[in-house]
Amino acid sequence: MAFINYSKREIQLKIVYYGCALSGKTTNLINLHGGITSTQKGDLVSLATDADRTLFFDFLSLNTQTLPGFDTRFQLYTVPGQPVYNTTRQLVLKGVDGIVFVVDSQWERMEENVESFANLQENLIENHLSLAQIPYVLQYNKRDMENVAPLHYLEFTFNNRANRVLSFEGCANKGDGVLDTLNGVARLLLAKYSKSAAPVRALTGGNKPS
Amino acid sequence: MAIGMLSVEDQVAIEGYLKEFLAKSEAQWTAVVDKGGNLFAEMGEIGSLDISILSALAAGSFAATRELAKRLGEQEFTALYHEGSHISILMTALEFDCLLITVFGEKTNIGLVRFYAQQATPGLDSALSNASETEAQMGPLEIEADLAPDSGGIIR
Amino acid sequence: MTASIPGGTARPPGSQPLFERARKRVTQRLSLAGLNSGGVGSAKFKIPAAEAAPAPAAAPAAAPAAPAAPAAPVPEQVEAVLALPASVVIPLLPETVLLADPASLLNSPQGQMDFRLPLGTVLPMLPSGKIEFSIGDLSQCAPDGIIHSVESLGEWAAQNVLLPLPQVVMRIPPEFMTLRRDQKPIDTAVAAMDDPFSPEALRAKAEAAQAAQAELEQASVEAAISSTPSPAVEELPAAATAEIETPEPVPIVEEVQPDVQPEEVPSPASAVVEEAYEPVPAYRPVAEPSIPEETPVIPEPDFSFTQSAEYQSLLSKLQMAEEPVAAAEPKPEPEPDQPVSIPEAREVSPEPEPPAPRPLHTFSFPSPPKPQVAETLPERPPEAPLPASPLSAAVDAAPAISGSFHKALQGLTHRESAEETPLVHHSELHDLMRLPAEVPAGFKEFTRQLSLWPGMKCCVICGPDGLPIASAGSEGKSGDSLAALAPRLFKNASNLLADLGRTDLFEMNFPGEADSLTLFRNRHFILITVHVDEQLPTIYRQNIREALNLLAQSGPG
Repeated sequence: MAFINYSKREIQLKIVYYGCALSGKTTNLINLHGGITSTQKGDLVSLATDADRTLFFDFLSLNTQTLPGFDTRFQLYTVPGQPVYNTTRQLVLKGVDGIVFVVDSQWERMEENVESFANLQENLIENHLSLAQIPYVLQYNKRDMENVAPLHYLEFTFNNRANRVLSFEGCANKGDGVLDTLNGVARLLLAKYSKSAAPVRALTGGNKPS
Repeated sequence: MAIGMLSVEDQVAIEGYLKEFLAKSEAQWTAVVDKGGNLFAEMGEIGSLDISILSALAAGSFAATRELAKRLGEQEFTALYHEGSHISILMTALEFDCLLITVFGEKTNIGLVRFYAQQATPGLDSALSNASETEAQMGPLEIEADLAPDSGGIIR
Repeated sequence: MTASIPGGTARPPGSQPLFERARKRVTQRLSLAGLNSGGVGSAKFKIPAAEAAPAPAAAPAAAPAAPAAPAAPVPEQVEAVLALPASVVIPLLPETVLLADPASLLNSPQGQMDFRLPLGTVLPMLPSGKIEFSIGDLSQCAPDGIIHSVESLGEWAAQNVLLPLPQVVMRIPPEFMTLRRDQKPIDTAVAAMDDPFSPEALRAKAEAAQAAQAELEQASVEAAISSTPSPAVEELPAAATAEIETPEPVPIVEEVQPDVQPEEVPSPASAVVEEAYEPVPAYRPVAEPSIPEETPVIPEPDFSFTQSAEYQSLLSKLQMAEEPVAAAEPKPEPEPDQPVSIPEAREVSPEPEPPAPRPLHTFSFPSPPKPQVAETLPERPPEAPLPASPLSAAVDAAPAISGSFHKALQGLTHRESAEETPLVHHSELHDLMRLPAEVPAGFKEFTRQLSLWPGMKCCVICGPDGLPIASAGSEGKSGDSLAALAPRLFKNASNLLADLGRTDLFEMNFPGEADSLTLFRNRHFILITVHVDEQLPTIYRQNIREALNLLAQSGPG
């Protein structure tokens, strides 16, 4: 869940990149880490096997000052995609504020994509959450591959729920769509705190209402 | 139930307990984080280490052993200790899904750090309880001003 | 910027002709509302078997009915069909269910025909990411002459076959894969928001942060030189403060650097500021020496009396041949603080005049007796037997104490001579503790026995890391705290004693009103005992030290 530190004037938001194995979750973070200037990011931590398969999670911290008066720190996590690490995925989802679901657009991975999406919903329930509460976006990755499903099919499969969500095409290994995806989910999270008509209670944070 | 907001007063209170704990235990750095990796307060010197990474890894390390604890009949381990050649770390469970992380070197020893961590735990729990009550009374954060404008937005 | 997915179809080039016969015959709009009511992956839409079975037969029946469509309403029994080439399906089927071998079937006219899959069955499978049909269902959709009939398939009828997803999907018109009508659209406010992470904004922020950092360093250097040192952060402009993410600046005045010569001080204007992120000031001004409060200021001793004649005569009387002390150079005065030649430096108080030499003391004291140095060393007296423990009477009188302990204490207090053959260490510890041979003489047994000694309340043994190894006694609960603090007690005491030239500290005693503590230490362990009397008897202490050494040699258990 979002954490607001009125003393430091800082908001911490947790975004989890979810998806089946080898869908491009870690590649997204690697690309973000390489593309964002040093003042706005921390180190990229990757707990992975020797074969570069995520073992526990990847972690990247990014800062922005979009919210006036507050420093917003986005903590980006990825989960291991292999089915055997389901417990780890549950742990990483704890306290999540936003989700990026990375879809491997290749035909042969479609069944795994769908299973991963169902697994996401199950693990959210384990954490007493649901997709109805947690903002999420879709990234259709690997659009540069040859044998990929058409976008209308992907939309029909993954974006046909009660609420339409933002979806982005991407080629994470080339950096295409990576920043757009992050911006999309970041906008969803920041929008919660931007109410132009609401009284400015944030500036007096820390004071208990009389 | 995790804590989602921390007021100035609550952070100062937590830092007070941390300062006292740090002085008595002669540890190098200590912090209160939640199990989601959010940093509440810290005290001491950690050098050039990224605190957000440290918090995330410590929380992850704690979470990773939860399953092991369950296999052993425990709900969750209350403390984890990782010993290094020169630097060691102790993680102690607190209330409200929080952790007390302590990094210490050869200047002190685990027995002393653990002892004072146990002494500091009730005070920290009460400070976190106050923070939770404060959060319950505070409304959601709403910023009236417009968000910072983007200067281009060109997709890379 | 939102990357929206185009609603139109993007058919890959070279795809098979799509579904043309089925499109002409479709007159019944399939309701897709039930397809996604349960979210992705649901397949709740199922065509009843009565409708599914005649589907292949209905298709040719629909053809003659089609010419009549413009005039009359289309019958509702018509069902959309997806034509999947047999050449795609045959290789996926086990040979057992085929009427001929796959190669000959593919070369036959049947191999050029299509499997007619009911679209109503296929569409609900799309969100699952796989198209799966049982062989029994496929036999009903297959052209004649390819698969055995359902009745003769037996158990094979229930076996599932995965059909190639791309082959199926690409034969479905995009209009059959439309999104649900009741779907809520994306919040336009969110879609129209500015990007938090645009490259240009990030670049601008990075440059602003670098400039602010450089200003911060410049201001901190100037503040350090000023007469009234003030936190550099107060001089920052408010805008720079809001932009900077660095932690609070470290106070400039930190430590004394007495070796900084005035001529070596660079001008503040030329102070080099390195990287904006981790600036290192080139110069740190000399600060006032910080004298810790705990350290007393020891006055310099005055050795001028050694030059006196009286002192020399005293030395000769004591027959301590000593070189006549040459006119020793007076001990140098402590160096005064170097004045700092920096403009607006703090005022340095002028050095006081060195004190005038004190008049030599004249003292006289009686001549010390001449030490009687023996010509030969006296014979070493035989070792006296260990005295009986003052508590041995209490031991004899206490019936509750276990027999093993009783014997152990008797053995300790009645050791006759030092010429006893020393036992093997392990066995000696057993004898010491009077333990059965099969029981390991370990820490637990050791502490348990100790806690039973008269006057003992509890004891804890721990390692140098402060973690308890074993404890026993009435105050066992506080054993953890005793263990945690014991290494610190020894360390602090050792540090203090080191100043006195004493380095070997292996025992400490803390008398108290209610009870007292005695701590023992060797290289491996620390033993803390809590006892009633202010001090432990000598025999206790000796035996405890011996037992600790034995434990260190033999290890636990």
